[in-house]
Amino acid sequence: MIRFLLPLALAVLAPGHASASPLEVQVTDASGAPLANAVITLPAPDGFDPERHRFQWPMMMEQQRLQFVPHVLVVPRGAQVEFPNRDRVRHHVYSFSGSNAFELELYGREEARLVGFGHPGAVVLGCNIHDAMIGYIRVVETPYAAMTGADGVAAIADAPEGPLTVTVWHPYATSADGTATLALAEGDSAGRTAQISLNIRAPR
Amino acid sequence: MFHRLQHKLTIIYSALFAAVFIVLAAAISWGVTERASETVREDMDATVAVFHRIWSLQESQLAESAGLLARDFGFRSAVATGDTPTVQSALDNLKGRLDVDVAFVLTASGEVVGLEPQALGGRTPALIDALSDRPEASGVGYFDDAAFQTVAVPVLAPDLIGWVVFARELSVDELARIADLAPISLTARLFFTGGADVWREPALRSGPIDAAQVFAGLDDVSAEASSARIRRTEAGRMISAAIPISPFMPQTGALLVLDFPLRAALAPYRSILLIMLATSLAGFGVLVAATWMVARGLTRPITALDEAAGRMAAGEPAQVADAGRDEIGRLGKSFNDMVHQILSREAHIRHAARHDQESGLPNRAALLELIASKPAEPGETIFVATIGIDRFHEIRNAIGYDLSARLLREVGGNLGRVGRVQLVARTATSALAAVYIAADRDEAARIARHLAHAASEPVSLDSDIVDVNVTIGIAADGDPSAPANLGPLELSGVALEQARSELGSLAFFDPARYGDPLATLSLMSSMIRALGTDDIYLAYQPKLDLRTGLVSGAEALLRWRHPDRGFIPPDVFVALAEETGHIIPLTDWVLGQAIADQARMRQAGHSLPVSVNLSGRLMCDSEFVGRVLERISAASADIVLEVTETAVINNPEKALAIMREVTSAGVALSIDDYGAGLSNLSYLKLIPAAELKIDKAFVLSLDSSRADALLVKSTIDLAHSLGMRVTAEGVESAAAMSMLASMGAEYAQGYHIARPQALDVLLGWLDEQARAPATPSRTRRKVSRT
Repeated sequence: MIRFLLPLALAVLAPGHASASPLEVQVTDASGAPLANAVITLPAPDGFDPERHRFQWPMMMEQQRLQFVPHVLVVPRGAQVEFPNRDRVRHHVYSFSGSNAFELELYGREEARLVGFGHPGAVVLGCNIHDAMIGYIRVVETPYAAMTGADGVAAIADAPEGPLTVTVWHPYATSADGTATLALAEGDSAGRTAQISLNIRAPR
Repeated sequence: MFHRLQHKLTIIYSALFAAVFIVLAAAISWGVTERASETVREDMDATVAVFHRIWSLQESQLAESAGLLARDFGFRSAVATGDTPTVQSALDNLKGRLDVDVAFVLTASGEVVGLEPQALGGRTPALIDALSDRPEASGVGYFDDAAFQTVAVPVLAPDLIGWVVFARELSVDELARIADLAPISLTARLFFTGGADVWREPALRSGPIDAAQVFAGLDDVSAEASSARIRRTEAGRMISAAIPISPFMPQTGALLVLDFPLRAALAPYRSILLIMLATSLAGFGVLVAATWMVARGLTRPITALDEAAGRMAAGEPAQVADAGRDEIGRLGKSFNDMVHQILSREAHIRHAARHDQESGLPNRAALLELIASKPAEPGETIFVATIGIDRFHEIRNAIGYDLSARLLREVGGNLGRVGRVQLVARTATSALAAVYIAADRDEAARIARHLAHAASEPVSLDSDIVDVNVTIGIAADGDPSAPANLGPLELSGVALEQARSELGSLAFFDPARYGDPLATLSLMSSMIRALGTDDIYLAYQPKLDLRTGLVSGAEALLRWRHPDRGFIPPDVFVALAEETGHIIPLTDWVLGQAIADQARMRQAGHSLPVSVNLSGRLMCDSEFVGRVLERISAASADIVLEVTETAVINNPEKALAIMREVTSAGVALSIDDYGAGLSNLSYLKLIPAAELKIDKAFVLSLDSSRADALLVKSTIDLAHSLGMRVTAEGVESAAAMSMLASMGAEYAQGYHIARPQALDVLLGWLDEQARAPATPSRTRRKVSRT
């Protein structure tokens, strides 16, 4: 119920836009199965400053039961993301993802670290101690971003009117930058769910 | 196919042994090969299993080393951040430490660090694709023209960013090391294909190889590992196993081929096989020699028998050597017995063929054989004397056949002891013949007399003594005067007959007396043909009445002038006709001709009785005589039938009865040739004849022999006293005629009066006589004048 009402509320609370309407996109893999943890984005409006933007979900990547939770986190550029350790063991979180590379040396339970991500793109997170731990942070420069749930559907409540280019990113996508795009003409998405499929690889 | 049993046996046994040996050798060879191959196959399968374990062990070691590197945080950091010099240095460091020939990093984006990119032969994207699906890959890689045992380990940061690839070269030494794992000295060869079925042998840095040839005899190389098998290669026969090994890169292939020479597998068995071969060859030689000898032992007596049978067939005496106690030996003995019996039987037959069974003396065949062999020296002549034993049948009837045969044997023995006699043979029932040599006829006669003397010795048979008389006929071999169709033996037989007919005791063959008996064989048929022709005719000899000087009758005499043989004496053919029965047609013809001729005389004015000679034999034939009488009476002829006294000797009663019929029929009978034969006065008085004709033998010498004159005179008186008139035959002189007239003979017949003459001549003569009729005075005058 809350998830259903949330976009609605967002739409009401976006006064700056002459008009807005909710957008639903379902992401599937090549075989048509719903794909969770896919991130859809729309181009940012002119003059949008991501460093000031706040998404409604916490900017936090927990290490819990030797896993990164959530598996995929969407953050705006410049966001400070907290890495709290909920396990009794220590972790050594790192990322070699280009300009966003970082390393958090061994830290213990209930210790938290803050990492700022100043460059857009995908950041792959790993733990030098636990090879099986892997997580992703998607750094975006737009307010219109959402992540698919288990049903593969992501919704953007205040999507602007007019023709839209939907960008879909998934950590397992096989394309060069892990994205795919969907061009929607004006009114195409009105009242229904847009469909897009991605080629993905098996998780390693 | 084979002309000799020996060859046949030898070849057949050798072929059989060879066939058995070949089959045995093939079986043993197959078994040994199979066993050796099986051993090698088992070793090879074991080797393959070991190889797989070693291979995976090495793979694990490589993978472990690569994994250590790939998990190193600093290394991952270097790879993730594209710190190529650091990555390169890390690779170089490990290569030296871990004994890895090739170590490189392949990033997910296709970069290669630590290896020249072209070493992958443009397969980088395909390799990335393959590794993406199968992060921890291993297999045979092919880089820089060499093959490597290769493993790839992913580099996770933590996402997959690339692979660490470690490889150890599969060099010749490395393959040898693998081969050394086997309990047997295998050869291991590795082959690699980059696709399109182009194979090469990387350890040798070879170019493309001829796969069809190198892999000949192996299973489909793409299949799973198969068990070892025997195949034929350039290096000889191999026991081989082909082991496909997973390739490191897609669309490539690798194949490990293990070879083991079959020769090496069979080496332990070679000495056994050689011994077997040598034993077999030696056995074969021994068998051939033994068979040859056995066959020779078997066939030699048979060959000897064969040759002996051939000699036997050719008439030579033949015996075979003793060949033991087996069947062939017994056959040889039987053959010898058979030859012996055949020879003795042959000798017996030959003896029997040349000897008289009864007397045991040589027979005619033996004698002819001797004559044919011409035993005489030049200037000498072979003579054959046939010694006829007189009265042999009487002797035989008296003493029996056995003793008479002994008699002949004794006589033959006596004859054989006479000098110059070569052979004495029995040539007829009662005759022996001696062949002897003499210089001439005189000596031959002398020897013949010796023979007669020798044969005439009394012969003592058991207790009896038999006197033997012989008559001998002699003939010379090659006598030119003898008939060509008779040999000396036959001629001597004829001479014997001639001697006997002369009542002599010894005679040479006389060709003159012998005449031409061959011709008489056909005389009768030609006589019958001549009847009715001019060849046979009647001649008439007039009969003069001594009292009146007139012709009182004529005797019809048969004459035959043969176109080829000339004049044939009546004695010859009439006597023969009497013997053969042809006398009846002959007499018929004479009677008919005489009747006809008498008719002609009568026509010519001369009525004369005609005398016709009638064979004494016919006088007993009442039917014939009846027919004669009928014809005479039918022709009203005046015929006198002349018969000899002998006519009544055989069957006097019947002959006299018929004679009485004749006279009662009015036909006069005349007794012909009186005095020539045996005169029987008792018959003479019974014969109802009107006339008696004195034989010319007495009349011819009437004027020179007083005895004959006395006989004639008494005969005339005898005839007159029996009521018969007398005709004297053979009157050839006036003196004889006048003497006969004075003795009281009524008629005379002879050359002095007239020769027998043909009818026409007779008629002329009769005419002449009629013109100057003779008178008794004239006759007497003639007689007195002579």
